[in-house]
Amino acid sequence: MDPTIAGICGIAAMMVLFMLRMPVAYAMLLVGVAGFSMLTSVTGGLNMLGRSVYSTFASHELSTIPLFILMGQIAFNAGISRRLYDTAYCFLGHVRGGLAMATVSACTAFGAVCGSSPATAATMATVGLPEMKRFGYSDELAAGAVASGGGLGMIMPPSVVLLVYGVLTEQSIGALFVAGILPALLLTLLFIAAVAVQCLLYPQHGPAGRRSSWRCRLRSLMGLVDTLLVFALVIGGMFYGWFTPTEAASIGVLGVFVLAVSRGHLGWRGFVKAVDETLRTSCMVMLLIAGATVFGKFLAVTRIPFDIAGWVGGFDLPAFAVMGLVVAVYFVGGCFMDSLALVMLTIPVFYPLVLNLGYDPVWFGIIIVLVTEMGVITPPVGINVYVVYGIAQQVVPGGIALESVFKGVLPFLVAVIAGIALLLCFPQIVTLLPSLMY
Amino acid sequence: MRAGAGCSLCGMVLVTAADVAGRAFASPLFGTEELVAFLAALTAGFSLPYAHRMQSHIAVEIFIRRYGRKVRRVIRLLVDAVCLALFSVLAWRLFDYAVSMRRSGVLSMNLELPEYLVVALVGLGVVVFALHLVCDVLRAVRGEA
Repeated sequence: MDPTIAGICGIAAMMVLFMLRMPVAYAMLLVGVAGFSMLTSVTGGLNMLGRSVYSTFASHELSTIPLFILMGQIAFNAGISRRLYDTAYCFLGHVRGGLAMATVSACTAFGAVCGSSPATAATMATVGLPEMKRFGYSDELAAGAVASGGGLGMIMPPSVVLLVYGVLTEQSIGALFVAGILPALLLTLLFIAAVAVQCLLYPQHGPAGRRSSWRCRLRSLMGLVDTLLVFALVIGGMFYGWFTPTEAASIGVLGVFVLAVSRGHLGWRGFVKAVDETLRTSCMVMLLIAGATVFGKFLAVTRIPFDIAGWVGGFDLPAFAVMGLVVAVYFVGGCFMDSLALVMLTIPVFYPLVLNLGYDPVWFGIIIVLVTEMGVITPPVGINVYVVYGIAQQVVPGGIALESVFKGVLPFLVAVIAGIALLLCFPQIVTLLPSLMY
Repeated sequence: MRAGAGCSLCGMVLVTAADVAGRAFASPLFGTEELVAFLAALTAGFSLPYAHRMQSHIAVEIFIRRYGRKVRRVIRLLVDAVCLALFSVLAWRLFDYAVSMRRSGVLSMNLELPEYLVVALVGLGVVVFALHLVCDVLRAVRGEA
């Protein structure tokens, strides 16, 4: 069989398996090994399966993933998120829509210790939703701010998507993390602007709260000290080349653990819960990477990624038009699929294409994370929306309608699109900090 | 198995931290990188059954919801059976890999540890995971799920 046709059949078979609700990682493993065996030899395919899965699991670079997830889980179980929220509220609570702005800011701050978007959304929904409802905020604004703000946790380093991107494309994880800081802050400002505009148009959506005294504000800043310390140690250590990413992650875990235990915020039960959650999430991520590796080997044999790169190159489109197409594919794909799975599935195809166009690989990584941020809040599979909807049933009397959450994220979606446009026009926002490293 | 995964995870943190601390006093831990890689492999391999039981793996739900309960049950049985076959093959290949490593006497680069043991332990994790899939298939056949 012609390798390209075999590749197309393989992709079609995988889509069918997805539709039958086979987990994405399993489907990629199955199609990858079957296709590879068909195009090379059965023995070759079977050997590739065992070795690829083991080498993914035993990869030193990837060992960073469970460690960063553990750091976020310990921070969550130790209640660091609530203290961050209190601080943000002291500074912004008196403004119209201030609580929503505080939620968004707290999401960014929590993202500095947590690498996952749904985890950040879940954390902030638990803390922020009841407060916003208590102050008479509309369902749309309250849920929209939490669901969208959660995505900031993925952009603010450490970030699981950036880690996986770095490993798949052999880019420096430290450079990717450092590159994510300014875009995350930019997006936070855009989200705050989105809240402000919304409250200007519909003042009843976010009534102003009481003003805090400066004494209260300064005291609340103490709530930020531990997060700042850990963040400075982890990212600063990588920035100056003191630690490898794995070392930085381990130091981060120990740092958060020691802070939480010494202040009496983390007991044995909380610790076990954090470890259990980490095992679940990291196993899911690792198997997904193993699946993507096996599937990627099959794709490489079919030469489809190179064909597509050549095909698009043959159109002679301007570079920004091709980037626009890539962003559109992620946007549509993100509506149906989890962001991490989508990134792993498409990187082998898009990465050579984008490199051919002369774009910076670190910049492209940040663009991908921003685009997948849209995926987590768009229907029908916006995972953050469902997370917030689910938590709202528990923490808000009467819950919040799913439609309200989807309606609420719309202004933030516009803000993300504005953010992507800014990064496309001014790539320096991404490349400035990595260029100062070491 | 879950406890083993948890201990490996904590082991990764401690070994790396000990290495960093040792380096500060000019005596880093020898062979940290491969030790962490082995512990990472055990963490992932041993948590496979737990992650499956907790339904942590991402799947696309929206299409399957259109079908009736009966059709969904048949589809689930078929998918579980295919998954069982896939992971049984994976377990076999991992053990085969371990055996070939043992035969050729492969040792790890720095600490000269027998790496085949780690491969076999990951294979064991996949076997337990496959046994969970057997239970799923049996439950689906009996019409319980």
